Amino acid sequence: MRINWYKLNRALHRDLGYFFFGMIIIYALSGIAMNHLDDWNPRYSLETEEAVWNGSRLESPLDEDIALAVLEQFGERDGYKKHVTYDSGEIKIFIKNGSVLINPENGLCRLEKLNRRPIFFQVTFLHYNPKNFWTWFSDLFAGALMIIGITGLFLLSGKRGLKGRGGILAGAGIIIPLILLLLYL
Amino acid sequence: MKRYVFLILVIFAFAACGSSETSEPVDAAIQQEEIIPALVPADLLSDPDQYVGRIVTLTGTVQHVCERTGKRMFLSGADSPDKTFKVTAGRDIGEFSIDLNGSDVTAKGAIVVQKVNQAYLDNWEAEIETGAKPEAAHEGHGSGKEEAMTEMEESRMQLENMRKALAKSGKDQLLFYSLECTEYQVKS
Repeated sequence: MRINWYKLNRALHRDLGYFFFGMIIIYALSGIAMNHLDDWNPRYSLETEEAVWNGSRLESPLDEDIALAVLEQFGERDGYKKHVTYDSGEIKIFIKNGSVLINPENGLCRLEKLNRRPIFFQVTFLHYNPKNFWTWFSDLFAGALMIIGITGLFLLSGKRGLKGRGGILAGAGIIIPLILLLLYL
Repeated sequence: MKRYVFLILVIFAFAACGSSETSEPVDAAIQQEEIIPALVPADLLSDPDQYVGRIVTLTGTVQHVCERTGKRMFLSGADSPDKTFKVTAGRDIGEFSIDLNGSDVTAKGAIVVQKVNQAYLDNWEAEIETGAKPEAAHEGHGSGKEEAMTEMEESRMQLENMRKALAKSGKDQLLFYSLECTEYQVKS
């Protein structure tokens, strides 16, 4: 049987492209998110609120009823988990998805809650390689990306293919990272 | 139809390549199944050397989970929240959920040690200055309370603290211990 390389090339490019469409979006989105870790946390948004406690004196060890009353100010009473006192004297009340840090000297209470960012939390979770299964599936994806790239080079022939416009674009895409390597490595 | 069969074969061929290395032992020294039960952070903090390379179970309260990666958390004893021991997420754990903050957990895994000397710090500084992503190995040298900072600020601060600590120690290296967690249970 004679192999029709053109058809095979096209089929591979098309079907791998379909199959890994979701993975391309996942890695593209998480890649953008993680490129800017210095500017934001793509996994959680931080919600803060401050209040001053005017009730009874905050002493260590803090009574649980007082801890609950402090949480009441923020409407977080139901989220109480436990509280601890640090050597500095500060008291931290752990709540669901956050905490309240109390300065017993001035009664200042600071609530910090972390809320998952939709989509970005999930894609960065996957990007950080959660399980062994994901390791081989993403390896598979990486290999498929190379096949998609290589087969893409040969989709068109003639002036629009590698010998013409396609070749110029592919060359430019290779030269740019090479220039960056020369400049920064 | 033939082309789909071919495609499926290609996919499985890649899968076979990808899975062939996963059965490699990680570290022969750590593979010994001698499990030391029921330690608390104070045990490990007071004399960590005796546990290096051994599998232990550690019980404590989660003081902090790294919200950026979920790859590490810090456990303390019930009465000493300032004294924490670092626990990192092993391969099968994936990550720790921030829901663990304030929970009592028991973590099982091997105690590992990282040596930090002048060359290590110089290399780390170079990575920060060139804007390279920090190596995973550098992560978690802080107290775990710097999350409000940007990654770059946090790295610089940790590096600076590390240089001071190394100078103050009068030694040529600092040792950092952690538990590489393979499984954990939430007690409350």
